[in-house]
Formats: sequence, C-alpha cells, structure tokens
Amino acid sequence: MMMTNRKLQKDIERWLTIEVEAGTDEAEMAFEVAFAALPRLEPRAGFAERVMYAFQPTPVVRPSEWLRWGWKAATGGALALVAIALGLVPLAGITVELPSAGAIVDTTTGGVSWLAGWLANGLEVWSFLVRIGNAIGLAIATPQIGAALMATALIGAAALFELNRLLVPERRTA
Amino acid sequence: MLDEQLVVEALSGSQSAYRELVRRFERPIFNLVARMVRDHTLAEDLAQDSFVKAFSRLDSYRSEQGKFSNWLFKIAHNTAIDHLRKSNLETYSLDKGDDPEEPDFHALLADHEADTPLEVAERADLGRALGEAVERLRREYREVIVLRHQEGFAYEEIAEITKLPLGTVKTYIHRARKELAAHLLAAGWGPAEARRNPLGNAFVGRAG
Repeated sequence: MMMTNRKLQKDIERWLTIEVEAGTDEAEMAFEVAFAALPRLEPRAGFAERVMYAFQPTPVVRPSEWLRWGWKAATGGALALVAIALGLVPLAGITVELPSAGAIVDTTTGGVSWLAGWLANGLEVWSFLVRIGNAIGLAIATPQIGAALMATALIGAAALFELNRLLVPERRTA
Repeated sequence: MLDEQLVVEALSGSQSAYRELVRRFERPIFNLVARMVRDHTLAEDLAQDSFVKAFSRLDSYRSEQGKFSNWLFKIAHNTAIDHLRKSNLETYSLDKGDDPEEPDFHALLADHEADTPLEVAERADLGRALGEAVERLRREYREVIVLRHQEGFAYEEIAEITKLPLGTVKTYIHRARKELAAHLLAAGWGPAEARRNPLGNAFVGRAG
C-alpha cells in the first residue's frame, strides 16, 4: 500500500519489521506507536446524562456543619449553666434536703406495689373479656345455635343484596 | 481532583461528583465494552449498566485495595462478559447497519490530527485496517490489547481486571500483536519484502 504520509508509513513498517524479526519489548513499543492510529470508540452525545438519569443517586442526608456545631454549643452551654447553678447553690445559702435511704426504699416499694395493683386491674378487664369470648364460643359450638347464626347471616346478606338491587334503578332515575 | 476524592464526594450525595466520574471514564469504558461486544448500541447499554452498577455499590469500593479506575474497569469487564455468556453474542459487526442513528464505526476511526486531506484519508485507512484486524481477534485478545495499548494499563492491572493469570495476559497481548501484524501484512501494509511473505514463520496467529 503506497502512502504519502512518510511518518505514518515509517511507524507501521517499523513495527511490522520488528514484529517479524524480534517480537520483543521493542516490538511492543513500535506497536504502540502504530496502534495510536486506532482512535477510541466513543458513545453518542449525552451519555453522561443518560447514566445519571438511569442511576438517580439518593443523597445521604447529613446535618450541615453549622447545625452540628450549633448542637454541640447548645449542649455544652446547658451543661455549663447546670454546673454554674450547682456552684451557686451553697453561695446563695440555699439548703437542699436530700431524702434519707429509708424514705427512698419506702417510696420504691410503694411504687412497686402500686404498679402491681395497676397491672392486676388491667388483667381483670382481660379476664372478663376472655369469659365473654368463652361463652360466645361455647354457644356457637352448639350445632343448633351455630345453624341459627349461619341462617341469620345468610338472610341478612340476601336482604342487603335485594335492597341494593331495588335501589339501583332508583339511583339511575334520580 | 483524584478519582478517590470524587468517590468520597459522590458518597456524600454530590451529583456533580457522580457526573464528573462518568465524564472521566465514559470514553475508556465505552471503548473497552464496544471492542468486546462489537455493537455500538449494545455497548452503550452495557457501559451504562456498568456505571449504574458501580455507583449503586460505590460504598463497597475501598481505595486501599486499588485504583478506582481498576475497580470500574473490572465491573465493566464483568458486565460485558456476563452479557456475552448469556446471549452468546460474538458475531456482531461494527459495520454500519440500516439504522440511520447508528454511527459509522469506520468513520469514527478516522484521525483528524493529520494535516492534509490525503493524510487524513491515509490515517483513516490505517485506522480502518487496524479496526478490522482488531475485530478479527479473539474476544480475549481484543480486550487485553485495548486495555494495554489504548488505556495504558500495566500487565498486573489487566490481570486484576480480567481475572486472568499474569502469564496468560502477557501471552495474549503478544499473540494479539502477532495476529494484528499478520492481518495488516496480509492486507498490504508494511515493507515490500514482508508483504511478499505476510504469514511467514513469525506469524502463526489465528483469527477467530
């Protein structure tokens, strides 16, 4: 193939000659020069937009730096105020009476017994409901009552169906 | 900005970081996939899938384990391989079909840096001949030759991306080069004396 572009011709011939004769690293380097004539294939325009549309990243919601610093400052300020207030208590001559250990125990045990009584009341309600459910269950389990209930349900459903059928033409004419 | 820094920004929700990562890698990723599957439309779909997969599991990327580009190319390689295995598509051609929107691959192969119209035409000829020779290579050869000589990856990196042993990668590249040389000589390129014996002893390549 005759070529007027001397450099291009030399590049390709050099590689092909070396490849035939040597086939070493030198051939690889010569090949690299010749292979540069093969441009990269490219996607159509707008590829990035199509990728972004297909992906649609969900950003991780994180509090801003200001918000985080504000939160830290508020917490620190509140703790400092508590510390200052505690430090001012003796200076202001205020005496704080701490409850004795006996009083704490009394309060705790009283609280526990109140909680137990409260739970027992709650359970009373549930046991009452269980008794009602039990009675209904027993009644339904009886064949006669079960059949009567079933018949009542069927009659009720049939009545509702008929009522609906009668009402449809009236709705249309209204 | 480094790719790895862009990954951190993307993970914190920056859309522009994602977009920049696509912009940086769209061409090399598409080029590799297109050379592997030899179909423009399919290559675009697979390249897009590769990005979407990569971004969906971006938090699993660890910079200590290697460069982001290697990680992304590995995903693109796996995506293309999975598709080829599923559909057994190895017979597509880069020739322009009936679709008017489909770009002419051979026109894309033209190099626009040369000076005169004749030189442009000659480089386009060489590009076309190289493209046709690359197309005739085995898929494995096509992939490694593109990774090595178009994307500039080291042998070790290619082995990591393709999950092939290092020795195999070197062998594939060597054979690919030999086969390309044989194809080009047979097509009439190269010195006159070599053209007289284009498939001499040095060229025992096999197109497939």
